[in-house]
Amino acid sequence: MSSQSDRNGAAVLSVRNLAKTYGKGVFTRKGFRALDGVSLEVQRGSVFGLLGPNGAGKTTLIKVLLGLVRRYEGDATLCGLPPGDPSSRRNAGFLPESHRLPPYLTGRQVVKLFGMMSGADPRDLDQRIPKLLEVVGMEKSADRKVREYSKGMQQRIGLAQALVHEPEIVFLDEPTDGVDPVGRAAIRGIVEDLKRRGITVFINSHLLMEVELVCDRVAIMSKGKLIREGSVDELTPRTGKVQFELRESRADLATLLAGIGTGFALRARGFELQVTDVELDQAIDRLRAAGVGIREISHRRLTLEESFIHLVSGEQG
Amino acid sequence: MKRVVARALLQDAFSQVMDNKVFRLLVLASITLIAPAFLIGFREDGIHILFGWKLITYQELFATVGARVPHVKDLNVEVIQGLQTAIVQGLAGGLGIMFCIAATAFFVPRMLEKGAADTLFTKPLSRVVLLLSRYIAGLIFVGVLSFLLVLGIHLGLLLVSGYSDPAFLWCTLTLVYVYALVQTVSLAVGVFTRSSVAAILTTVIFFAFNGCVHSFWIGKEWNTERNSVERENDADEPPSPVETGVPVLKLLGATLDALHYTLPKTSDADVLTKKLRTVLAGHSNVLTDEAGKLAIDRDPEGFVLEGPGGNVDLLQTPATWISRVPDGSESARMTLSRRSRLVERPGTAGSPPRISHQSTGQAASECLKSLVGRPEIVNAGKEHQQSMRVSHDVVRWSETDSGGTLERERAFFAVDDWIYELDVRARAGADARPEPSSGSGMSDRRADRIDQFMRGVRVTKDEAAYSDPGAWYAARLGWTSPVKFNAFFSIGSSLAFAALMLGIATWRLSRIDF
Repeated sequence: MSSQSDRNGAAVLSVRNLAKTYGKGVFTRKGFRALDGVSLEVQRGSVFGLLGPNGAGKTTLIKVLLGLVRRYEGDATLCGLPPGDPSSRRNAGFLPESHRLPPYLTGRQVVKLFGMMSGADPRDLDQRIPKLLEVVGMEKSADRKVREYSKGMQQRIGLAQALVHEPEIVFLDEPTDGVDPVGRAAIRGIVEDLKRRGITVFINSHLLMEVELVCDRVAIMSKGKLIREGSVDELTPRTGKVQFELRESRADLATLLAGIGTGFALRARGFELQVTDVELDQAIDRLRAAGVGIREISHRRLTLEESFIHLVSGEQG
Repeated sequence: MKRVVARALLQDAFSQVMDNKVFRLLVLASITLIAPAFLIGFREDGIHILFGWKLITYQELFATVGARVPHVKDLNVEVIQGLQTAIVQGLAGGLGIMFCIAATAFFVPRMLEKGAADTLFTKPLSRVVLLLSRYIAGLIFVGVLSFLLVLGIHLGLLLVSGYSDPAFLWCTLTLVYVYALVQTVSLAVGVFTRSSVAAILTTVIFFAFNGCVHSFWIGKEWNTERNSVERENDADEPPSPVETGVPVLKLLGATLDALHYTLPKTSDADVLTKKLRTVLAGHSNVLTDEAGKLAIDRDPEGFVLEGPGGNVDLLQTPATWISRVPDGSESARMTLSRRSRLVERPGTAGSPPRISHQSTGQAASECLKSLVGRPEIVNAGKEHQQSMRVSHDVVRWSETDSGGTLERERAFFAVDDWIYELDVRARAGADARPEPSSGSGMSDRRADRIDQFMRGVRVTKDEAAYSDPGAWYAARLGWTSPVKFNAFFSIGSSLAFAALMLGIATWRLSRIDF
């Protein structure tokens, strides 16, 4: 069933009360409920992050949307079409978590093969592939057989094959898995570039920092349920603490700030203090009066990791 | 499906095949089988090794195994065709197919492995298309190998032996057809178990079992018909246990029938190819007597048929073969004629006269009796002989006339209500044919004449009494035969089985959660 947003063209992906139970058959009546009434929408052109502990149902959700998992309950649409329809995947790219590319082909051949399978014109692909290989940093190794690649190289070619047909939405399941820090930065750059070009990116990752850096919206799943969804700002609220970074540290800082705010704690290059706006002004005045140089003052927010752990442990507890 | 997608799937299938190590090994094996066709020439005078470096005559070759050189018109052609059949239908059609099963069985399980499936099945293609792409990969695998083998042998024989049989190229189609049937089992098992080992073992066992089922079924049908023919001729012949109704045997027979009709008829492919080759090669009989259901495939060695041949009525006009010495004068003559074997016997104790069949032994005895007392006849005697195709009785004698001594023979063989008489008269010492290699005695030469003739005799009535099970089944299988021997039914039911396997595989694949 298409949602209102689908019809408006705003949502590229939509699920309503999605549920999936594995292993429910004649002999195994109970089965394992991997998805339990998940509802969400992803807007066109956004970068959406899906977080959750192992077994939360993140990969199952992606697999339902891409037609890898059948016989689910609820509604789901991808590009306005039900997941069982192969055409719904025409405008989708997918980098699976642990993919196995055809070992008998070279990296370049793999990218072209999957591009053609997605219906792209081979002549367009011939022009597009060299640039794409350059973007993923595989231009030099593209003509070696996939079986000779390291895991990171396979991941880069996997990313190239997911993008080669210029899809409207790209699903990246643990995209930085096995990739070195330079590669991670490159993948982050690719995601930012996709976003600039209006392509929707759906990221499934354990690396919360990666998600925090690139995603507009984030959803957190646990035990097959969606427990929280919102923008990164919404999921990482201010804690009320202010961090002061000083030019030089002093031993009498606690004495100096006595009576202002609560929860004073020394940090490597300064200190942290829970203050109101008025108290913040007072603290600055006292420091300046004592000749303490202030390099930076920032409001401390919850990290996505802290938020994630808090939500998931609350759900599991 | 878009053309570009089809092209992608084909390219993928081809790349997968070319990268396969077993495929490369089988290409090498095929080259090993092809090489002799380029290095050894089978010519009329013997076997030329390495472009004439050494010549081995057929006499030398057969002598090494203690055998006599068979008197066939084109021995080199017979040898070549025998080798072609052994290599393509025997080796490639049996062992080769099993190797191919083993080499391609992993195509589907590997496609369904986690990781590979995640990438492939998220492309905008239906699952059945991806399954069929793996099926086509298997067909490419076998098609390339068979074409290489068949074309290589054909070219080698053409260039080195000067032998060309374009119809032999159809064997490629046979091998692909057989494999196409068997591979559906591999596909279905592969989808269900996702295990290469299970797919290989099940398919190889199925292939062997399937061959056994059809061999047993042919044997059963042949036996049933032979018993029925024998009972027609001899009312005392007891019916077989299956016919009399022994429950276990009846059940076995019914099971065999059910399996035969259900399973793909892989062994029929060889028979149909042979028929196709015969049709394409424009094979024709020297002479056909349709009323008597008899065909003569070839002239006896050294003899030439007088007259046009083709369709004749031997009841009205006997056919004559003549052998001549180099100066053109006649040295021997064979005359074949047909007469009824129905004999009216007087009834006993007032009952009406009854019609019975005269046996070939009785006919020979009558002939022998007619010779008794004639002064010009010497050394008369009769004997029963069993040739490769038709049993017969022969009367031999010598007689003298103004020209000298004549060697005479008269052979009798029966088909249905007819007795054929082959009358041979040869001027002693004037036989233009070469000596039989096993000896130079007159009796050898005389026996050889009849034997030669009988080798060319073929009963076109496809009764079990006239042939072995394989030849009988080959004769019965045809495009217009009754359903159980009908070629369309054979192909149709085999394709239906293959479609069923593909259907089951598709159904299962559509339900898999990756």
